[in-house]
Amino acid sequence: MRFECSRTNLVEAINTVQKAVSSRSTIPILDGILLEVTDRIKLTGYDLETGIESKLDAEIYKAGSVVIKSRLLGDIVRRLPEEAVHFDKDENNIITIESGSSSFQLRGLPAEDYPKIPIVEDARQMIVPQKTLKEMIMQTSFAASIDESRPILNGINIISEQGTLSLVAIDGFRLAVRKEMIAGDLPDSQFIVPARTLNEVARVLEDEGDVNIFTSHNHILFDMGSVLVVSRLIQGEFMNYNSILPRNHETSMTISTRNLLSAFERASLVIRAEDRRFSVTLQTNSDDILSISAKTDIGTSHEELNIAMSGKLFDIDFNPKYFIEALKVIPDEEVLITFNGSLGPCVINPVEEDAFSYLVLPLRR
Amino acid sequence: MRVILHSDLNAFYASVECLYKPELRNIPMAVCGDPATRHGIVLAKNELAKKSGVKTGEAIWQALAKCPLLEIVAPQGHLYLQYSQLVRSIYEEYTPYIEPFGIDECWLDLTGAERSGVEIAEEIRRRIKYEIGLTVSIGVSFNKVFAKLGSDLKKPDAVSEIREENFRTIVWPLPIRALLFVGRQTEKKLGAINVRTIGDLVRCGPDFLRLRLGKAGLMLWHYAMGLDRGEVASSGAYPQVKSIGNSMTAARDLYTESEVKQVLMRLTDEVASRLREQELCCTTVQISLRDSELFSWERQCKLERPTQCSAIILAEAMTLYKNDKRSNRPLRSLGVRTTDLCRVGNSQQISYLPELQEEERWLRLERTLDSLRCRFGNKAVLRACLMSD
Repeated sequence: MRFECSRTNLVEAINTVQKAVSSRSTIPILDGILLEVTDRIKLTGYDLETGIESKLDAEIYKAGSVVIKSRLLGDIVRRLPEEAVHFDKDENNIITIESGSSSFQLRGLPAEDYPKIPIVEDARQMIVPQKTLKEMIMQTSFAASIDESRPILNGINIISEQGTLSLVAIDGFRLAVRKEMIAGDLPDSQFIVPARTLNEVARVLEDEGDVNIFTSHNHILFDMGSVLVVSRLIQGEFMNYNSILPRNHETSMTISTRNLLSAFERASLVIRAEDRRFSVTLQTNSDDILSISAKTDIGTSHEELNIAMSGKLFDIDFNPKYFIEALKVIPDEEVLITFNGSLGPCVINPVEEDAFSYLVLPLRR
Repeated sequence: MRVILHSDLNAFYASVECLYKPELRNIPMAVCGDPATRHGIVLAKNELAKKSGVKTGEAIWQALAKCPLLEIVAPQGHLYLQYSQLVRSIYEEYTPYIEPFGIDECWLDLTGAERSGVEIAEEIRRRIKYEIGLTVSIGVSFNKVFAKLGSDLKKPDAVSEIREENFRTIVWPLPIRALLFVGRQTEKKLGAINVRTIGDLVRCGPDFLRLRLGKAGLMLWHYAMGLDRGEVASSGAYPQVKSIGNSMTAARDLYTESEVKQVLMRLTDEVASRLREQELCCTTVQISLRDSELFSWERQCKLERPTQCSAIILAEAMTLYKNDKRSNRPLRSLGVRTTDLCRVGNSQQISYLPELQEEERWLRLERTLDSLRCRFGNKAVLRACLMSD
């Protein structure tokens, strides 16, 4: 195996596949990146749940393959002095990396020992614009549960139904749904993808071009041209989000997204980060002023914002984190928020469209 | 220069008993746990018993061997708490900076007061004697360690001062045990290198002590040099709690699962109630077991998420007990401890997951019981299964 390539491209490819390399695997070879050289170079990282492949062009002198420790490879390539990087592997699996006057020799691991990334067979295919999918992931994945005792909620439910694609994330206290009409032929189906995988996918997605999504019973493959991401699907029944979203509400108000976000961020300043479940209180005494306040052992905070409200006055406690995370991913200027009393669900929607819905449950005093 | 007082109630339990039964004053007496429930040790004794060599912590039969005429009195915990609070209310008239150290000791920070520390200490001593009828020993100094040491210098009913000018002549000749946090083990280790007095300790130097005792050695050297900077916690603030636990020796050995469950239930109810009182949640549950042969061991596990719900802690404690195969002997005492504590607000996040909703219902029930017990006393509401015992 022998080739010469650009350091910048190689660093980018290494950064991409490293996301799928587990740092504390019990199988030593999974600490490595698989390098396969044919007419192009293919790098693979795989932690048995998510696999990422990245391809790049290079001057190929001799085909071959090898596994190199991921951290070491990344650290070396990032610090090489020149743009041109030369790789060589001898018959003893010793790899020489050269750039400028610097030269490294490392022991490689045999490529045959590296586990095969699952092949997605009998797949259904969907074609989605990369930009759309990226937005949809950003608006939902933060709401997925990180509590590993309920694996299903660590995933995002992807539903395609009558030409509409929906992403749903639920963590038991809140729910985020993002819908989008997709042009072209979209087969009806639904599956649960680990939120961690989708976050990695979102990092690779660009603002141009399409992503091809293939799903089989157990796996999903995202094909973005030079990068492929394969992941195990989470098996099981996802909660039906329609049964959680309330049909009616007692109060509704419109408010500036940025102002509400800043107010929540200011109120959180008196809440210590390690203090869990300390609340921020939303309260109205009239139908045009919302007061946002917090009271902790550090101190108190209070401020008022203009709103347009209809329905009952309210006085409700929330975990500020749940509001802040949602408001951050809403680009629209104004949001419509509905409330159902001090114990019922609160729903946030952008005023202009209903593509995004976010539900959050309050804190009981 | 700071002004710190350490006030120590003399023979506290015994003195309170003597208030109620003055006839006990003139005979040797000791407050002891009940031998029938196997708590038979000396908890406190009066001056006469002390003169006959009775020591706190020894078994009743050992005490009786030294002092056959010893009058034994059963403890009345609620009474001692009440008196501790009475004494505290006197301290509160002088400063908000009061840090309790057990039921009968407190540090007070009087820095900045117009009168001298000794004057105030004398007044507190007199007031506690005439208003409550108890005696205290008070140490006055410029740090907590010497204040504590000062309160041990003269007993009972006395005030001793250790000043920056004279602490070398007062403190350094004292045996090493007089220093706070020097216990039997440290004394033994220091004895091995011929360190007998606090002055010996100072002469060892910080580096050598660090080598022999680690961080603790350095800390002790600082204490001995009068360099302790520890602050007196303010009234109402509690120090950073690391764990909350409770344990008890059963009145008789426990053979069956249901007997064990009853004891664990009492312990967890109390522990969870304290978690809620301090607005804490725990992430780790630990049980400690001791069998009839006095072998003891512990088991612990992590919870899926932080909780302050007794039902969940109990379920976890029972699982730990059921999975434990360490001994076939009946159990003598049990303990439940919760650690990995995190602070929570008093409000509870609502959820739509059934298991979390269930937990929330339990928690609401337990909070209601807390408030009932707070208003009407600890025995106002009991679990039915604990009624028989």
